[in-house]
Amino acid sequence: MEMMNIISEKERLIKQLRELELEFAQGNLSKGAYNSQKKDLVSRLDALEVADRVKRLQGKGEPEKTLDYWSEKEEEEKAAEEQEELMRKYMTSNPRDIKNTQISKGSNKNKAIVAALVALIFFSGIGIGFLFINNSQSAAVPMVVNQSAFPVAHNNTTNITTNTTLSNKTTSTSSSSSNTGGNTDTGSNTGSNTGGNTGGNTGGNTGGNRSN
Amino acid sequence: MKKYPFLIIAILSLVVLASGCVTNNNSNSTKTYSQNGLYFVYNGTWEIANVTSTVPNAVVAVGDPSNVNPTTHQPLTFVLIQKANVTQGTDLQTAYNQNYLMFFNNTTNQRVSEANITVSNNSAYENVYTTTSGGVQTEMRAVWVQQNGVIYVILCGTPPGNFQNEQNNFNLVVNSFKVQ
Repeated sequence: MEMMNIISEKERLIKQLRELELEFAQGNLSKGAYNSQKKDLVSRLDALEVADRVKRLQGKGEPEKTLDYWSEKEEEEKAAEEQEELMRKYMTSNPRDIKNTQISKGSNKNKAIVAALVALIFFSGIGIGFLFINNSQSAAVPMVVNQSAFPVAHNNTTNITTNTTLSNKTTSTSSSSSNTGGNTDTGSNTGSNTGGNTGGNTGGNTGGNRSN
Repeated sequence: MKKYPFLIIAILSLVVLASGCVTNNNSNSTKTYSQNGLYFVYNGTWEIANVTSTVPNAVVAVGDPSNVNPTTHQPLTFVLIQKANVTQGTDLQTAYNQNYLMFFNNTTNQRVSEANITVSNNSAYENVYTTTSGGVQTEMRAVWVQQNGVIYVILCGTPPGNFQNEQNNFNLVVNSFKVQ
């Protein structure tokens, strides 16, 4: 307020000074009176300047702002508020936020794709593994062991074979002589096998011919 | 530089694919047989095998199903457990000697080695030989062991070229063999 008074006083003094110079120029004022009044006005103006500087140096004053400045500032603030209200009303979010949202949505989508791909590959591996298992199982054949720790002819029995050839009797009659002949052959083979492949054979043939 | 992301993705895909693969590989696992009064442990990949009726006194047989004769269904690597057909009271050494008295005479059996071993803190006899049957040569390791008065023969067979490789599997059965 004090500053406002200084400003208004300065403007008034400047205005008086101009009027003084105008009157002097028109001849309505003598030179002596003009110089005297002018000196007074200038001294009062200088005092106001000094007072103004002192106040600024003391920090009590701010740079002088005119009434136009304050009215312009008030108008700017009103305009800024209106713009903000319009932004709030018609725009849901900040363009920067929209961009970030789009980027995050895109990255989430990529992550889902990668995860699905990894799962697909993993389960494909499981499927391939099961395929190999089934193939190996289907190829299995029942096994049969046909070997033995014991000898093949491992027995203690005795085999006796008897071969008997039947006798052949031939009877022939003739005018000069009569022959009655017969052949009788009896033969027997006696063999024995004992375990361990001893392979012993004993045999004998007995036979006789008797003819008439 | 543009190739690196694709390369990395390809490698990661292979890793994930491999991690998803499942197998029934039981190479480090074992199976247990506990029936008919016998107990032993054998390779987890092996299976119980049938035994033909011509094999006397067979108790159980296990074999490797990965290598089987397609015609005879005989597993090339197997372990067969038989009871020795001897009279009661016959000691192990007598039964062993009697079995091999003429075993190698005029047969396809060829002796490789013999040894005295220990199975489950019991004395045992081991006879290693080769035999040919049906044109297929097999190297046999017969372990004679007596437990609870009963003589058992653990016959381990495999092709000669694979004999050393299968010793771990054979030892697994022999060393774990128990009569319950």
